[in-house]
Amino acid sequence: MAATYFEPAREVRALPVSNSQIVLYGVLATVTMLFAAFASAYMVRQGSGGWQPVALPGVLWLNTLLLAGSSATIELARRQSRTVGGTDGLANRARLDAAPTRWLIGSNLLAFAFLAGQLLSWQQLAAAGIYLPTNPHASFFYIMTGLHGLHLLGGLVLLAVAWITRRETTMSCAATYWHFLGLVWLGVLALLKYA
Amino acid sequence: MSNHEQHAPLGFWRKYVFSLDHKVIGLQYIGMAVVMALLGSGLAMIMRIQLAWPGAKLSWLGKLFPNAFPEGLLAPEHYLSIITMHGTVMVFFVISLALVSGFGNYLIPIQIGARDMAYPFLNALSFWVMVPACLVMIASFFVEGGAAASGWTAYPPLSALKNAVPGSQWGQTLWLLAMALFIVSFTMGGLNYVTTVLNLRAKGMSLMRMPLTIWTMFIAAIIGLVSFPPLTAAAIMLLFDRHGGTSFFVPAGLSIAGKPVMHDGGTPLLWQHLFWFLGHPEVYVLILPGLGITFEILATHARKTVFGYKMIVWCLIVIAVLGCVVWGHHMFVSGMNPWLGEFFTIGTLIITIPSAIIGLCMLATLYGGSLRLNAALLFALGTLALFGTGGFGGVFLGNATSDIFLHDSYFVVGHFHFMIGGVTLFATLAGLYHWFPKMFGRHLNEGLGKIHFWLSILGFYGMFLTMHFVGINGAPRRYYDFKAYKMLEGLQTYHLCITISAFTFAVASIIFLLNVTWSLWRGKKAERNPWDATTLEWVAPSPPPHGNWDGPDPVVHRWPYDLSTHAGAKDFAMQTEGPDKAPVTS
Amino acid sequence: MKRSPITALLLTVFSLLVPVYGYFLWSKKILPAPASLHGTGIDAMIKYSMVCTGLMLLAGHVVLAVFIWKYSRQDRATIGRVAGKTEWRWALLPLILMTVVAEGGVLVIGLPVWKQLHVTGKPGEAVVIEVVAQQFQWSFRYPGPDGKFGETGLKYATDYDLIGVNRKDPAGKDDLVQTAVLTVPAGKLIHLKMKSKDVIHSLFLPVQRVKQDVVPGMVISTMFTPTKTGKYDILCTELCGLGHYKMRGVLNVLEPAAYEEWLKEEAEE
Repeated sequence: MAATYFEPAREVRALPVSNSQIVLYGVLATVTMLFAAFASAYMVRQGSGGWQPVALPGVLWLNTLLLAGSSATIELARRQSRTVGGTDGLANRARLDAAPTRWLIGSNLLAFAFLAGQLLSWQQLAAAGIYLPTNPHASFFYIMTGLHGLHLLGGLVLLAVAWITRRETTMSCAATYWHFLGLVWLGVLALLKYA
Repeated sequence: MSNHEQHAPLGFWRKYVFSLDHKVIGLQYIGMAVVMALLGSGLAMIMRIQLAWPGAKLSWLGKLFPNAFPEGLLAPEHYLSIITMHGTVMVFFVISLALVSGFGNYLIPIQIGARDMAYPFLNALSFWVMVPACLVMIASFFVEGGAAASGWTAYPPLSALKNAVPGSQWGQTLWLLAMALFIVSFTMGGLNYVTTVLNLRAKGMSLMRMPLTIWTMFIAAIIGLVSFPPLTAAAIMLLFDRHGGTSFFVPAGLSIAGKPVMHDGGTPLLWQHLFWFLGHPEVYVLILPGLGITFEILATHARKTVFGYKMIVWCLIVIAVLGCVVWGHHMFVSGMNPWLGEFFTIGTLIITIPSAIIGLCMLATLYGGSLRLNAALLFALGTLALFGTGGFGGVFLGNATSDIFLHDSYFVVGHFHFMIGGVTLFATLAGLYHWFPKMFGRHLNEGLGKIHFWLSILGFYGMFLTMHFVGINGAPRRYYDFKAYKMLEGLQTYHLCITISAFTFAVASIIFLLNVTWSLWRGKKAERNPWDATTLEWVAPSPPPHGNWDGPDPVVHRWPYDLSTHAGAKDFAMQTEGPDKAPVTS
Repeated sequence: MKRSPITALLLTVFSLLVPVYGYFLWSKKILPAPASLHGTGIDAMIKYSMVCTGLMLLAGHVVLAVFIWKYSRQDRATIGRVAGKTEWRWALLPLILMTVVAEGGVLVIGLPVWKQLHVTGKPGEAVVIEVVAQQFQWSFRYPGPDGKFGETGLKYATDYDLIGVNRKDPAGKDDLVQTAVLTVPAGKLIHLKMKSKDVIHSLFLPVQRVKQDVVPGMVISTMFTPTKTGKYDILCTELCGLGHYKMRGVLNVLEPAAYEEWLKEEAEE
């Protein structure tokens, strides 16, 4: 016994991900769990009484396209910004060049259009006399689309921050978050439409 | 991390109130937990008075709160509010705050060799979201109908229907909002912990050289991140059930006191699943950091290396994973499919294995050591004993067959007070005695500390070991009194014994608070490393300045428990010491 | 180094006293012996766990006491770091113990009892009684000679019939509704079908070792066979509101002949 446990200090093998990426993946995990909880609640609730499927407004398909477009434009912005590279040698301090601005504007406009479309779908449902408490399917529809919209608004804030600070990592995180919300939306839509 | 920015001297507000320093934020959390603990234990005392002397008149309370205690008599609705708020406050706003948020913030950066959290601003923000969470929770006492009264588990329909119980009017809504704020704050904190531990470790601080405190906080943060969202979802649905007219949890065809309820087809079990999907992992979020701190203190004050470090890390991971899939053991008699119940039984009882291994490692850490029986070690030994005793209660409750009889009885109350009350609280106190010199540069008074320990442990066993047997004799929990039941009359002596123990515990806590107050200004001055400990915080001055180390960034050369592995005058080597600084014998 | 002999002595004594206090409390059992078939099984399960964990508790505290006594007198630790293999080998002890005690107990003693509680007998074998819980009263309904429960509704409820049976429904005509008192025959399988009118309640028959939540919107079954006649308490064990603590009912277990007679008498009224 009593060997030494001394070893020469070595660099901790740094993770290939930056701080902001860890936070991002943490947030993605949290949001995934949130929507997974709603999805399982949806399936459980479907099994008990009072369930009447509501015909979903057709505008949702258009919204899906808008969101896909927004995702595509932000990806273009991200790719272009990568070519600019760092200014002070540190990857996470890399700054954005002015080049991706038009893609970002496009992405923002499409996102706002998506949110407007979601509001339109609420309006259409309400016009058809279907409100939040009307039946459980409608409740899930309003709450899940609402939550998704709120998360998208949060993403818009992140995007604004990326735009103002012009930091490459923030931009990159915003883009990943955007794609993720696109996937969440597909999941929500599939659940509400087909489950 | 490389060249840390210079920390310019700051004014009072920036230094102590709106600080970005992880240590100040940690202490703020602990301070807030103390305030909430005064509330929570005050409620417990009222509860215990009622149970020992049912119908007792508390004229002093009657004068203070004439509405809540007409003529000093506690009304059943207030009793229910009190048990609900006691549970909620203690679990979420005392133990979580002190242990996970408080010690987590204080210790994580300084023990891994970082000068602060990865996101100091996010950290401060998480504290400043927690403040309104506490305020909203406290405010709920003063709204119409009083504070929430459906238990800390808030099972609907009781919590969903406003006329089911007075506390389900505005109190329950505020309860849900406070919980939502709590979750937001806790999530921000958790993200920070994970990032800091993964990316900000000092040079040489590999994962397997991290102190167990850090391992447990890290795992707890991950469990918290994964398990809180379902409660958020449930809280949103319950809010809509209460105020939006939806029917997630309330079925059709109900009536309260002859009045029909306008809801349709919801399912109450859904809430229970979502609640316990959080509720059970939350237990591990609280208890694991407690175990980590205990290992740290046992090792340091028994002058021994931790027995089975790697094994412990693996056990913690196994407990964390299993802990997330066994929530159903809270629902054995809920009407859930009984065969699913049996599945949960087997899963739950598997957890006893890594837990027992951890217990054995604690015990084995003492073997052959040189115990310094100071207050910190006494509380750590207390934690070890409570973890064993309380853990055995889990064998009864995790088993569906014995749970049929013990479910919702005092046995459950005794069991979880041992685990998420006792293990966590004793670990917190052990931690305070251990790190107080580091936090404030002064020692707590040892003599008062010992009195504190003895009154606490006597009070604790007197309360909660007794409660186990109150439950085994058939007394259900959450009862205002037991007068209606002849078969439970014989238990009144037990209740008296529990109440006396509770007051003993309260006296102990007052002694502790006096000790803290006195020691903050008059305590014996502490050096850098008064305990001959090995981890990085003891390299820093006591108390450490903003930025933690006065010298260069610490560099780590060895694992954290190099105690009694060396001959010579010094029986330990700090993590920063190279081979030339500590002669090693063979 | 400063020694604390008094603290060490106190700690040693205290560690030994904990299991003694536990044993003292266990030996003073106030709860009556089980009065149902499966109840003995539940008691056996609890007793098995109690004996096993009690012994482990004792062993743990003795070891703790010895360690405290012995190692608080050493000025230097006598053991350094042990080899990883030794550590893993020691882990086998809790592994085997807990597997046998916890999992073994469930599989050998627990499962059969659990099964007894949840498997319905053959149709017609059991006495079927409907239990309806509400704030803060228990109601019990017997199907009458036709063996069928009639329709119910809020509008039919009276002070004597809290369930609200529609007496115009042919199946409901002969239904017998009782408030607070559950009368059952001894020695027969009783099948309770439980519903709630408002919030979650839980039916607890301590002496019969029966406990089952009653959840609104669900019909939950529980089975038991009472073995001893007499009157016993019924309690509610799920927080249900202000009167939770006094939601008392009475379980009246009669000899089968007396039960038949009672049914007849009640039907005539």
